[in-house]
Amino acid sequence: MKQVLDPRSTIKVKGGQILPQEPTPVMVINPRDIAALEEGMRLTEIFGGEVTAISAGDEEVKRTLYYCLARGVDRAIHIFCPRSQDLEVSPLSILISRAIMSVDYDLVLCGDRSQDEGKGLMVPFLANLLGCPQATKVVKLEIIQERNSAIIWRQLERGRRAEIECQLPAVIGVDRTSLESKYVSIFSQRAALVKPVQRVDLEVGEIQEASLHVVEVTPPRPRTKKTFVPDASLSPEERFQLLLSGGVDNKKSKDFIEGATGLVAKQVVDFLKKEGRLPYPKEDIV
Amino acid sequence: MKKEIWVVADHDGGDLNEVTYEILGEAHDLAKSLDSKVCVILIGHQVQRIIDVVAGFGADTVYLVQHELLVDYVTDIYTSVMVNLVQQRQPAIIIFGDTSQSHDLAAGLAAQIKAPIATDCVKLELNEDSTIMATRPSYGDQVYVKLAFSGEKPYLVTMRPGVIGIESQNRSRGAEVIRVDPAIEVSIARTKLKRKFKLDPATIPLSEAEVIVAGGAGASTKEDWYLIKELAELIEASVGGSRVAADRGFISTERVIGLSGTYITPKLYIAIGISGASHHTQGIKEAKSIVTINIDRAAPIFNMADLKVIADLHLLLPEINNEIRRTKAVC
Repeated sequence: MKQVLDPRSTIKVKGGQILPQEPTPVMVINPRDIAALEEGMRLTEIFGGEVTAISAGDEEVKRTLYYCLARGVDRAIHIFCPRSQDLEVSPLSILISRAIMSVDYDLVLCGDRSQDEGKGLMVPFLANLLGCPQATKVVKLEIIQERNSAIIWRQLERGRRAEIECQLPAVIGVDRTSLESKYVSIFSQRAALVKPVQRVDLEVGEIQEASLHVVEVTPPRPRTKKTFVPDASLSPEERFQLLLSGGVDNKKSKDFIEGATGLVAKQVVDFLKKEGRLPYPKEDIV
Repeated sequence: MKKEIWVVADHDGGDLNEVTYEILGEAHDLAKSLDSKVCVILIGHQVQRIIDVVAGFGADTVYLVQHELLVDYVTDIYTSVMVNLVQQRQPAIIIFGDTSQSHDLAAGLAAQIKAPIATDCVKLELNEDSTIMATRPSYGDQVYVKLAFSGEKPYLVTMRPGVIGIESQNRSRGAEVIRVDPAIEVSIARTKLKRKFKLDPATIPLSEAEVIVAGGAGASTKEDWYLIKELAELIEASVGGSRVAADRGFISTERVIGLSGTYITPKLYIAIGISGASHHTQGIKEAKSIVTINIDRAAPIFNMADLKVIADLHLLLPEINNEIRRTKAVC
């Protein structure tokens, strides 16, 4: 479970540092991690078992773990690591994997990527350390108890999905944010505050030397795409229209199609065929 | 020998994903600066037809890894193939597209070979002292972070699709082909692909849609929207609309396209009765092909269109839908 800056917060760059716009930034639980937590709770309701929540960071992340305890997890492990945000995924995954190995587990669930940096690396790194199969961008998960496996829907591009079967234990990256977390009553939250949180201290010397260094942080400067070449022969008015539309209306077609409705419809359908949206009739294929 | 720059071809059963062309261009620019060569890693089954295409886009060498077990992406098998290749050839940089499949492969590979990795990057460059730098957006694209690689190579990078753009293809270019025997063991696969399928276009998020039919202020009645939805159903498209359509209650707010809604990247976008106000056109910039149907010849959206149709949608849409039905009937 990762704590991130509220996704609705705005960021500013000052002196090469990323700073929240607000004087008192609001930290929240990564939305995909909440979806992963809810998935874990759903599965224990069906199959039984226990859920352990693990989070790495300073004292502040204990708030996240107290939320998890209030939500109903059975155990919470706090990997005490004051500057966890500065750690690369490799050392961080080593720490988390050690915490995971300290408990019996059938399934490791986490958010596929975080809302802040969004590297999307924790799942494969954990899977490698734990020697388990990995599944990233998971949008649906079912457990087949008799086969000790999981049926998983992975999100692919363009509305496609891949259904895979994966042996347990496995590391699953949940790529959903729409799954609303359940209401956690004030009573549960207060009760969670007295529940134990197991603390694991990071030993000095465990942090490896970073192989990726931040050299510059800037406001976003989208690069110019290679294909866009404004036509210098256009009139100022046309070029201004180009600017207004973000340089996208430099299209090939200059002619309008109009006239008898039947003929126009045929031309549109021919265009759809050319785009591969409709098949060509057999007699048209030479 | 100069270390190679690798580009891992992202394809689905031999259909190349466009991001491969984009990263080939980026790799080509980097190779010039490093005086290195661009090698494409082509993993699959019966994918040799891609060789000429990738050569035209800048590949000097193609490592062709073919096996019937590589017909579909399976994490463990593909990662094991890549690990073996990397250990044999020791490339300098490996570039992937940041698609679902390639991200999974890149991250899995980085974990296994313990290589530094920068994901979802928008730029790859060299600085003055020949350090390789990658720029990646962070905090919901609110900042760009420039990262410098150090330590032992190879360095892994995944590049965000649709950001770099595609350079023109040089069809006369050829590439050296090196066939690699993958020597795969089936037992290493701990996951099994059961099927790949497409979700119903009517329900998928607009950001994922391949074809979108959208209506605007010109579609002002229930009957107009019935025709628009009928057209979408016939060509298996998703339905969206402008802000006006949502305000009138014809579509839900998550189906709004534009600045105040979703930025779309379909292969085909059909705009019906949409004039093309700038807050809408900003959201359709990445549409590959645009068809517009509008009665107003001066509508700004015509400037963006590949097919510009001046017609009354009430008359034209029934004709188009009938014509599509006729076409489907004879096929």
